[in-house]
Amino acid sequence: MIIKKYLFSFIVLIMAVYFGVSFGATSGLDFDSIVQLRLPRVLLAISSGMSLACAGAVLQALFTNPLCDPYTLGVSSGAALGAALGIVLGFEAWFLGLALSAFIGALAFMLVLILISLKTRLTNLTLLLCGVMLGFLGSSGVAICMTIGDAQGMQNALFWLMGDLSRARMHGVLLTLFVSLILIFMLWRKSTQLDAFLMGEENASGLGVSVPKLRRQFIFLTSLLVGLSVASSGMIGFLGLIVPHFSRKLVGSLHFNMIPFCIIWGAVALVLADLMARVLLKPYELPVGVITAFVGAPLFIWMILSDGRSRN
Amino acid sequence: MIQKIIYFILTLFLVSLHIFAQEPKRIVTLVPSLGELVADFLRDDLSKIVGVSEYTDYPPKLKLKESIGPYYKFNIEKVVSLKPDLIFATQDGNAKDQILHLRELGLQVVVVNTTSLSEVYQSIDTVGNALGKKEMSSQMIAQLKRGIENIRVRNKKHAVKKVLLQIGYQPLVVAGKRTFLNDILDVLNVQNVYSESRMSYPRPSFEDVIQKNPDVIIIFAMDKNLKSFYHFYRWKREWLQFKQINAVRQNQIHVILGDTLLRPTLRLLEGLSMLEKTLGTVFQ
Repeated sequence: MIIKKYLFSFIVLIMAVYFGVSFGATSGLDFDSIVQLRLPRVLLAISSGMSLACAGAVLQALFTNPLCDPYTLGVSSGAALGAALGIVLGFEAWFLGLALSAFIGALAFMLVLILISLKTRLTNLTLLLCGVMLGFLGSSGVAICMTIGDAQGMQNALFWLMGDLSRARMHGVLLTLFVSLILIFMLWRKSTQLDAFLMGEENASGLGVSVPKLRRQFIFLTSLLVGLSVASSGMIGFLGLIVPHFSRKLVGSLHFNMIPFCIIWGAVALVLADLMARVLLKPYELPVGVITAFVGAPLFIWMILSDGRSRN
Repeated sequence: MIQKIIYFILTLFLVSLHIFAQEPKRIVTLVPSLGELVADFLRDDLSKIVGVSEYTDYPPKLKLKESIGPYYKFNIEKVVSLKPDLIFATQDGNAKDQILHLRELGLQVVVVNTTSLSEVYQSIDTVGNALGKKEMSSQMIAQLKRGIENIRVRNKKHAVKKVLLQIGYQPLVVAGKRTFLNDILDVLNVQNVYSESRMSYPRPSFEDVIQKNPDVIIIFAMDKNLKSFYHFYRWKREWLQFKQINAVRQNQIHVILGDTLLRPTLRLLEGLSMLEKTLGTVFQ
């Protein structure tokens, strides 16, 4: 049964990739240009989609909160702040400049979070609140940069904040994909401990799980994952919230199977969303985050409603 | 290291020689002003322009060309699919990383800068060179310089007035020092109230404007249709509540069509004389 589901998901992914590569702003593009322009975008969509979905799933389990998404801990705001500062300082002229400054921003915020969790014996809830506050801090920092930065650069930043896969270049994308896969694998190996978290903190420690240590490890790994994703493709909202719910509906809450499903469907969702962003209003290009939210929100509501009905 | 640099410069030189030696056949322009400028150079042979950015509407024939999207976020795939052998972009309008991307793809991109009047002359020269029309570009520059000099002389006698050039509302966006609009005000012998601003397009508060107390407020309308004009007149109405400002008291708030002034080509002269007329009502 589960093998059939895997097979189905893989086929959908392959179809999504096929569509993603074969359609674009123009028709009849030659093969070389497709490899140069569309393929990196599709690969980046796969990488970011699976990172966000996986990070969302882990955080939802870690905080036993179905409203968590990859951006809840504020790491993404750190990335955004880093990128905005990078633009103010004029790093964006170098193609890696923006991604690098974003990644450094994400790392800085992650460090603060881990320090907070080291210093005190915090419960999950306080850590969550600290993360949300860090997020606000980061976004107000971005707003400050927007007022002092030059108009053209900031317009660029605004696009990037709403999710933008158009910066994809082959070499960078392959590296991102590789590192993301490693991080996801490391998270997946801890799937049984993650299951223990689902039963609440006390129960988890009762089962012999070292809660604070494990929590730090999870925060570290997911932050890297989210930082990498935001640095390479901006803030793509909603995907990390909805795909874990969808996967849970498909294969249940045990993470051994649920995380692989998150990865596949996260990739499918972002590849298709990016395709829509490129094609819908051509030659204009929509920010991909707009599509994920616009399609994702109604889908999510429908999913919850239908879930309630089947339970009744 | 030095060898490498020399080698790099040499290849750059050779490559540029190679490119500029043969006339480009497929041109794409990434901002409306450059579409206009290139069309000026090509005169009636507009078939060489294969793609323009959105809002490129002058000369009207360019409206029929393939659009590559808006200048601030053009569609790279579209540009590539047009197979251009020469692309024109501006440093202050187009996104730097997108230009970089085009160059990485092996496309020839000529980037010009138009943040001051002298850079505008230079940009005409650069574009002319790239098109292999050096003579024409020096003629054009001479014509532009002559025209501007005439206007400068004409305007020498006025008492200097303070002018605010407004380009955006909510937030208020005005022209600052490092813009060629600032240079244009210089030509007209009026003072830009934000000429000391470090930013090119500062966003001051209304309070600050009241303190600067401009004698004239000029609002640039970016679009031609009636609906957007109504929109710009609403900006004008917003000012009327501030009776402390000289411009409001003396009814010197003007909405003018920005195209000819914001796109630095030969049409700049038209724009200048229009602006002169608008301001002229003050200087009688």
